[in-house]
Amino acid sequence: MIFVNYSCFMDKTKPRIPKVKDPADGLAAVVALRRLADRLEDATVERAMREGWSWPQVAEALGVTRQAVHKKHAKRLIAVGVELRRRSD
Amino acid sequence: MIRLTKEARDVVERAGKEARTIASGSIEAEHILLALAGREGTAAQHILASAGLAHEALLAAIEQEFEQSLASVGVLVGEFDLNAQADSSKGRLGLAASARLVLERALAVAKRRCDNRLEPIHLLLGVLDAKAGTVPRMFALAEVDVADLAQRAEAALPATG
Repeated sequence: MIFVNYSCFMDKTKPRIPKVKDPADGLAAVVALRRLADRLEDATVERAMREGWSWPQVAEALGVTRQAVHKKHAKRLIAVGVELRRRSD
Repeated sequence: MIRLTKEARDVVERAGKEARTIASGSIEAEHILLALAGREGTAAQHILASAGLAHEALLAAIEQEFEQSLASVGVLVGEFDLNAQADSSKGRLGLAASARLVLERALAVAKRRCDNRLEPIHLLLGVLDAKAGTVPRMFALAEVDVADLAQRAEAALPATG
């Protein structure tokens, strides 16, 4: 029987998760994280569509409905000139 | 009855464009501030510029607050690709709670003084009076003397009447 000590393979340095002490900082971080998620979504959906992803694929990857992702991004992507795939493609 | 002047309406409209340019889904207090700094020929713009808060400086301060707030929970913005094309579609953005509060406070200033016109300077006072959120935090980070700005804005209010 072989015993493996998994802790040998783990990174010994503990991840340093900063503790937010001031509620003002914590609340501002919540706002900023939401905004980061929105900006990341805009940038990444745009990139995916430029690379030929379809709406259903993007929707499934984001875990939302196709209608939701279309409603949120279609107008902007058309305005910035991204060629969108038709459903039949 | 208090009416928004042409300049004040311009500022609100411009705030929508500012929000869109920095990829925000709604108009926040900081977008009204950016719009105030961008509307030439107003006392509000003059006061902001003389405090070193021209449009570009404010944009930088907003970004700094964003990065700082994320850094406090260990997130580094530099590690993300956030380069989406700015939204140029035409639809109107709604006012977020922070922007509504700015308008409410601006109106309260006008009411208190019996002004029947709401000018950009009232809006500036509404922005400067924000107690929490992005605006006071970005001012703190940029070491802006908000009390001094507010005092100068008060002094620039139109003659009562």
